Amino acid sequence: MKEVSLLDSKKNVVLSIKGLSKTIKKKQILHNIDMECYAGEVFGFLGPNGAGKTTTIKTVVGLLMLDEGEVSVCGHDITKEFEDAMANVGGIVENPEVYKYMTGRENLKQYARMRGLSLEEIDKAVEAVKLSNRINDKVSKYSLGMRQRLGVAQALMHKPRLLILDEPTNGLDPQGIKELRDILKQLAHEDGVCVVVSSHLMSEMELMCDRVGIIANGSMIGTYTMEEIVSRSKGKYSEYTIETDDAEAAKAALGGSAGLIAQGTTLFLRLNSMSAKADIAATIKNLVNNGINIYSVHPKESVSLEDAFIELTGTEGDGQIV
Amino acid sequence: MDRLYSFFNLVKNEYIKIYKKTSTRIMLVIFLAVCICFAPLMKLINHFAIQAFGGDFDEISYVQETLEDAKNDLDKKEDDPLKEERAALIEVVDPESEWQFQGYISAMASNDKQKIQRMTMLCKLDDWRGFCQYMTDNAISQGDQWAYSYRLEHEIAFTEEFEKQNRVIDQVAMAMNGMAETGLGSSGLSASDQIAIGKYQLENGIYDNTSTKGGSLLNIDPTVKMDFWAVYLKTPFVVTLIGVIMVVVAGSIVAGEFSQGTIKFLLINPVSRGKILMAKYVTVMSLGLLLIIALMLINIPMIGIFFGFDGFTAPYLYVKDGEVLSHSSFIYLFKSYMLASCEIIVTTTLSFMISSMLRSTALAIVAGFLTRSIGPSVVQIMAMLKMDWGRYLIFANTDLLSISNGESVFQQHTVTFALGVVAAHLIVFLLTAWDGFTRRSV
Repeated sequence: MKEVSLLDSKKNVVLSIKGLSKTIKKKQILHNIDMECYAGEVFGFLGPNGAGKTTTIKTVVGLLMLDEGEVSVCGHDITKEFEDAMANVGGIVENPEVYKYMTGRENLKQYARMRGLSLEEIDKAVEAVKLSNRINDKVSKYSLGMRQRLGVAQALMHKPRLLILDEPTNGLDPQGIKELRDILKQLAHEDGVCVVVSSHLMSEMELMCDRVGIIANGSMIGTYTMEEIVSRSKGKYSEYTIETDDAEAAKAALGGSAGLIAQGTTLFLRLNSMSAKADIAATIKNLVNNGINIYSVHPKESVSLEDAFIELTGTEGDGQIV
Repeated sequence: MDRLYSFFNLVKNEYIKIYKKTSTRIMLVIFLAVCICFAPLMKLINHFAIQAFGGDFDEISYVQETLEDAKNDLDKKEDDPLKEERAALIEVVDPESEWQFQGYISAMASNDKQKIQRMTMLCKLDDWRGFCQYMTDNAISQGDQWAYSYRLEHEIAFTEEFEKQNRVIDQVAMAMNGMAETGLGSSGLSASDQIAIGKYQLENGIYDNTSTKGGSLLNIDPTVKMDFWAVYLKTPFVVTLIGVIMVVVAGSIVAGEFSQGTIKFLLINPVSRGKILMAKYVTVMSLGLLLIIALMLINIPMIGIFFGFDGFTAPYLYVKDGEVLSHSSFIYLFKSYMLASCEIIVTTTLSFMISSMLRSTALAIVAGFLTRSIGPSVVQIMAMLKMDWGRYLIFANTDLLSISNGESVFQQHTVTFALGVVAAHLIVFLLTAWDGFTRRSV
């Protein structure tokens, strides 16, 4: 069901960036960025520190003037039809800085007034980020995580079609990160919002995104679906560990092929990545049929996911921020 | 209509942000305290000034003492040929009659036997008309001559009943004698205007007039008890305090958003930067206007309580092309407020410009105050060095109140010229602010 809606919505471009270049103080920060994000997807905007993520996002929300190129939101050019374009955008850029001398609710009222919203919409947004109990406290008493939630509520309250969050998990506790992830997935997959999330953490993106765009040194390296990235990171083989009551017996039952190592109660398997999922299922079935007890099956922790990201982004400059 | 409503919401947002800050609340409390204390403070100043200048002065006993002293002096003098005549005059002067004492002084100062005898006779008969006739014929100064002939002509005796008329007559006579501009409480009116206005008052039976009650804050005549308008027309000087509040607010209204980082959330909204900046400027200016209205409204009952409402309906008289014209004193008050507001509009706009261009609250506020404090000195120095182009500087043109009173250091400096210079500067300030806010990166 989800897959279908994702495919259908691919035609529905919410954010379109074409040939975007930006030079700040004689230093070119962005080189000819091209990007499209669609309704109903969580799009991860991935890159190391200083790659140009925040600069791109700032340009999209109109905080920076663009030098060259075109940015449009829901078909409205952000330089020519700024107000129409921004009516569809909600976002957080860098830190969630709000008026500290006001309460959370008073802050949200400010934005509600600017966007012509009712008080109910404030309450709904506050409910969604689970901040209802503290919304009437002064923001100066908030923790970073609470301010981040308030920022998300601010970005959500007018039900934008494009939601842009710049490193939204900063300062959130694990519980908060999970809740935010759920909120964003729900918005994208059920309400058809185009969610763009930037991060430099591949592992975080993996859990949240449908598609990622990778940027390094101000240039777009490419956009990939999550499956493409995962298979790229896994290389030729996938490894699994199986805990059984008798590893030697298990090895014998599987025919003792080259990719098998038995060690006490643990059996290590190396499978061809292309068919790994089917192979591991067949292996388990085989073991069960042979009367061997299986206590657990673990895919080997995929450290190479991060490696793939580093490989894609960090080829130049020895990891130096350029 | 919709756009107006959304703009109104932007302004409302700015007001809320200003009001929620503790610093603004403190400033508001100070402002209200000054507004409320203004009338009692003026009452205190006036009270002590009158006391220091002889507030418990009893004219009749003073006259009695003078006559007593004169009598004693005369007894000691053996060689005065007019000793007898003078003694007779002292004997008949009624200490309670104002004109008799005037006549007495005038006669005693001369050595004219006939004059002393004549005065003695007039006093004996209590004939004020005869006295006026005599003074009209014999007074030296032009003002006195006019005053006595006017009294004679219009049957204005030196009694309580004609107190108001006599006060105006004395003012006109003083102006005629060239004393108007040297006295305390001078109002910046020329002697000829004072004479014209005084005569107009006498002709039309208007004995109270606010045209001499303006002037600067500390320019208070210590011999006169202040009335409603004398105090109310000094309230425009409190506008300076409103200027301080406005400079502080203007200095932080844009730069504060940058220093707190809130500018990003402010600009991620379907509202153009131009509208946001305009809303901020409108907020600062309308705040100033609201404070001015508060100042005016609070002071009406406060001054009423401490000084009474006597002369509340007195008109404001002025001379234009040699003709005396009259309008409500409230119009004059509004004009004074507008002239006083010019300076605060300029300093506030300057502060606003720096706030949005350099994004530094401290710099903006300091610049606003520096123009106020150093500006006038710079202009003074330039005038001293005969650098006439100094008149084109903004500092030389902000104090419209002085310029309209003709107190500018530059020759032929008119309010129209000053307004032109001010308008040109305001346009430049606002365009710079606009450019700094709408086109720069955040």
